[in-house]
Amino acid sequence: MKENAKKIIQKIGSLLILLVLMIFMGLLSPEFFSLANIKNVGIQASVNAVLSIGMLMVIIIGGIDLSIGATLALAGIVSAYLMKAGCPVVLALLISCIVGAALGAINGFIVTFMKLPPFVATLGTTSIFRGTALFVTNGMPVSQLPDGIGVIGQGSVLGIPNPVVITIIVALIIYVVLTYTSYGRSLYAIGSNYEATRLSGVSVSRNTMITYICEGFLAAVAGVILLGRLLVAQPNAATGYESNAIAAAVIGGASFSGGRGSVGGALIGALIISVLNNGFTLLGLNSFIQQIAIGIVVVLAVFADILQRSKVN
Amino acid sequence: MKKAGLFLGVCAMLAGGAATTVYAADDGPTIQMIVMSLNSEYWLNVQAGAEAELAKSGGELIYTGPSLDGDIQGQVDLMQNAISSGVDGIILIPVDSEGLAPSVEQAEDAGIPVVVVDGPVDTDNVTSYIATDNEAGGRLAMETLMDLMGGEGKAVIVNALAGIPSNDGRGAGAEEAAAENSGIELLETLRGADQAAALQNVENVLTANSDLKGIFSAYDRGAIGASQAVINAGFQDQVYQVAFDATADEIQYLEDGVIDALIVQQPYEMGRLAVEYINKALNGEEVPAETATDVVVVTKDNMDDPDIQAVLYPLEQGEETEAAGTAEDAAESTETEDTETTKDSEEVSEDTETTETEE
Amino acid sequence: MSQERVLHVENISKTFPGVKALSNINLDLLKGEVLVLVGENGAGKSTLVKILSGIYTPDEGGKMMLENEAYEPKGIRDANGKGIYIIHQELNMIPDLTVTENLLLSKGFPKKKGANCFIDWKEADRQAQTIIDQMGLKYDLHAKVESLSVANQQMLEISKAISQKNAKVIIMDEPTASITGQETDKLFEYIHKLKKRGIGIIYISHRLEEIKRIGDRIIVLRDGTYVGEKMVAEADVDEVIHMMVGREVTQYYPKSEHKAGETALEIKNLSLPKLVKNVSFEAKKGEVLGIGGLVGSGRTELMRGIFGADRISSGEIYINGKSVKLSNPKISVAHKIAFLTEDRKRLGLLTGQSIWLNTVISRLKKLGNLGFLTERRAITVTDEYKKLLKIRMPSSKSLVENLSGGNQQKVIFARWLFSDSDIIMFDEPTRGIDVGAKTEMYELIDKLVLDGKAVILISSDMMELMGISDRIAVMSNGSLTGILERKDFSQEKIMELALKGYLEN
Repeated sequence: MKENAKKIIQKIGSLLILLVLMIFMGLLSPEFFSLANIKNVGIQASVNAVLSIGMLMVIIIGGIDLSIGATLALAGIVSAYLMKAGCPVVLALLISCIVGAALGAINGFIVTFMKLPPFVATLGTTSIFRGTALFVTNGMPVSQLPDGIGVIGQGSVLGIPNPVVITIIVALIIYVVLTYTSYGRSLYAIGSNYEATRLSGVSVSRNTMITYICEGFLAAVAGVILLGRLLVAQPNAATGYESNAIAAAVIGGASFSGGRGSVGGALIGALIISVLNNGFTLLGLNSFIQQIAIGIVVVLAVFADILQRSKVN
Repeated sequence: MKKAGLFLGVCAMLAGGAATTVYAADDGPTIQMIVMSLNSEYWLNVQAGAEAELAKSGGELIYTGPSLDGDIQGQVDLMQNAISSGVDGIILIPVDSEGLAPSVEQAEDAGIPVVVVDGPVDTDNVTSYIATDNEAGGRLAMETLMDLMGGEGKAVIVNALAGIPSNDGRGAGAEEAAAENSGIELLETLRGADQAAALQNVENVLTANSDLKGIFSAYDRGAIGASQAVINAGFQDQVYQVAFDATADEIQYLEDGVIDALIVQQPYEMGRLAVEYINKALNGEEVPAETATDVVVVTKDNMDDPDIQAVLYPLEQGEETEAAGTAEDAAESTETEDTETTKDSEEVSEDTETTETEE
Repeated sequence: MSQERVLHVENISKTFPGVKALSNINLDLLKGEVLVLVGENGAGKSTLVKILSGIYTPDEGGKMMLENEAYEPKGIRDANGKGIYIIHQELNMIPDLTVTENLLLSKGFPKKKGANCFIDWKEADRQAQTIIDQMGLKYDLHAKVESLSVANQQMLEISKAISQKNAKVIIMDEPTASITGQETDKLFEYIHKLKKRGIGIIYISHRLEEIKRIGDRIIVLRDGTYVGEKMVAEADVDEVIHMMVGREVTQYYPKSEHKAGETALEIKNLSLPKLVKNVSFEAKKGEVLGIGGLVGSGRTELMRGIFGADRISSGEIYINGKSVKLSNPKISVAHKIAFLTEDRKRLGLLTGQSIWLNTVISRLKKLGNLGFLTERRAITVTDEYKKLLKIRMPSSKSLVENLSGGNQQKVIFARWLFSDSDIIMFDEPTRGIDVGAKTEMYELIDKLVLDGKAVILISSDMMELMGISDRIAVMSNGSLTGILERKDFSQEKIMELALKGYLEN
């Protein structure tokens, strides 16, 4: 019972920040709670939400992936070229996600078998992936894509914008994986004590590998959403997105030491960042203040989490 | 040669985030061009102009730039490399006016003429500075937009992140122009690093201001993001858009009526002039310290004029002239066309102004 | 020996939200006395130590005096400044720093004359040498501490604490937990020297035979209260245990008649890249094979090699007569081998995770089809083991680090019961857990054997080893020097075999 209360408090920490922010924005700007704007916030949060869910998985096993932005860009460029070459849109996007997974596998291989710390490994692959993207495109954006791709960014299902639909599907799948599968549960174990988990007979290398592959796959899914929104694949797309993804996961309660974090938390984190961006523009505030505000929220959310845990313990 | 250059480029990209492309070598001067980033096709126009001019004298153009936007250190590194490799001249398109100043001075002191293109560098020790008068361009853009809006209503500027002199200049010019017109309510400038950010920002602004009437985008990716937001929200018929530059996507939006006017610079001419000045400087001739190239207002109505086509598609023009025959012929034809274009463009811009006010 | 008192504690209590950890403790420590503090885990020993060292502030109403002056420490530094030092059970060394650096870190490095901002490393090494010389340690001063064994690190820790010039009271919390008998002898020798200097020593230990050797007086705590005290000379082990647990311990080592069956595990000529060479033995169903030997003799390394935690360089392993390659723990678990590691915190517990995840981690797939599992099912399983093993815990969802050491050990025990292991290797299963929990542990091991499991057990506690093993294999310097049948068990014989490998070299 007490444990439940503790969990609820932990979750509410960031949820509370989100609610307070939303009420605050709603009071100051009448348009905030309009249907159109709520859709906007959802759409704008979607890319970061999908990235942060992938990042969450890696953070849970005690890792980090700095290369997601570059993975997104490179996977997006592959699909853009395929589309321009006449490949059907759906197939091109599918291949893009597989490319993302393959790039994730490279990260996983370096971390698992070459035993590099994830920070260094993905710092290196960021440069490799980004450099490859720049090299194959000669630095130029790939545009004039077939119309079909726009459906992903602009279309909707039952009134829900497609980027939001994709995010919800991703979130549900990863939630089920993390909560109801032996693989998902083993991630928490790996993050909390790698060696003890290994000695318990869990395939830690295989599961670490799978996690980086998932992360790469999800980065490419986020890339698909971005492609649907921008209708252009850029080698420099998503530069710096990794920091927002990390921020979202951390605001949502993930711990850098591993073993902690939830899909719900990451979603809330991504929404908080989006609400800040959206609300500040609605209010006509200076865009630089947004940056400052996001930083403050990251620090506050993590601090609140620390306070609560020390209180409960 | 080219392959080797590409290979070096990849190495450089991986190592320091910068790429190099080496073009055919000759007996003439070796000139290194350092652009803001390899990410934008815009600089290829400058490159094409420079190549065309260089074809006259013979020589080698080395096209370089950091791979990411806003990478001051990357440009400084490229400057240092250029100086130590002993090139004959440098064409620099600076990302920062202060950060690049010491390197420019160093190059000049080493006897390498530097022509700064597009945005200023904070030093007098420079061979020449060629740029669009960005403030005047921004002013012209805002005036065009205000005319389209009928002189009243809400407008917003979509700009890149602060710190890029050319973009900042356009923003400042536009703000100044808007301040002179009391009917215009100018919202807080939207700043974003890329198309995705511009798209989000404009979406949000449209939500908060359903009565928005005008958008001026001071950079190409911003204009594309803004256009997508306008289309997504179904505001094409209400919102007038004026945007800087003329990338393929922007021209498409102009044809579709999403963007109403493009403010087009003449990067090809800048590149051509830059090489001309470097050659003159190497021969000990005087060159003008500052040259402002004109901007051209392109609308759906005038975009099919041959002169305007030349401004919109300088690369194709360059290719044509290169194919035309000897280098000298090509250079001559470009030169004459350029001067003509400039004259015409002034007329054109006046034309547009009158037609719009009639509406 | 002077009978002047050095430390006086009067009416000290400590209340945590919801728990009274310590109530109305009174004690006097005399100069040159070794006062032994005993009690089960949770009896209040560590709370008392933390109050004495200034980590906790006691409740109001109590009083502490150090040499007739009021003693109210504001933290460890303050306590050290006033002359009270603690040797912790857990190691406080920084693994990446050298021996010299670790020894001088807290007291400060000597500075070069005339250049006060630079460290005089020659002088630093000289001071560090003096410190380790006291205990007769022969370590390379420039070796990183991580390259030393746990026991050697513990010795370093001890020598660091006892080198303090202003020391009036030294508190030792299980100082011998991970050091060898020889090293223990050296430590006791030094404690005698400290006594002569008039320093009062508070000594905490679970090892009752040690207490007999070194202690003067025993104070027993239970559930945060003072139960009683005895002079060591008059104390009887059963009586002390009785005071600690509050119940009659009739059988310290519960053990039924075991009937050894077929060979479950056979090891032939197993060698590891380091230390372990050419070890062969058999473990049979329905028996406890004890593994004896000194700390550092290669017992843990041998187990890790068998389990596939580390790579072996040569040798064969047979399970139920069939040759197997156990190249990683996953394969070993699939072959129904279990390994309860010595270092519970580092190699066993999944800290920050629920008790149920800690219980089911080795067989997650058993909880559901196709890799799907529900928390409810896992909790049901965990609750069953809670009953079976009498694990004292608030709920299966609680974090595992909130349990006491003995209960944590039971959770790990449950993990391997749940994975249906047939061959179970224990590495120091009772280390750091209290007497009551120990007895329960022995009972559980006994039950495993009666169920026909093969148990292999490493223990440094010789009484325990002899108490519950059916056979004892003794390791010495990486080799197996002999296997004793139960009828041949004696401390002398085991010690002889344990030293054999070192004598031959």
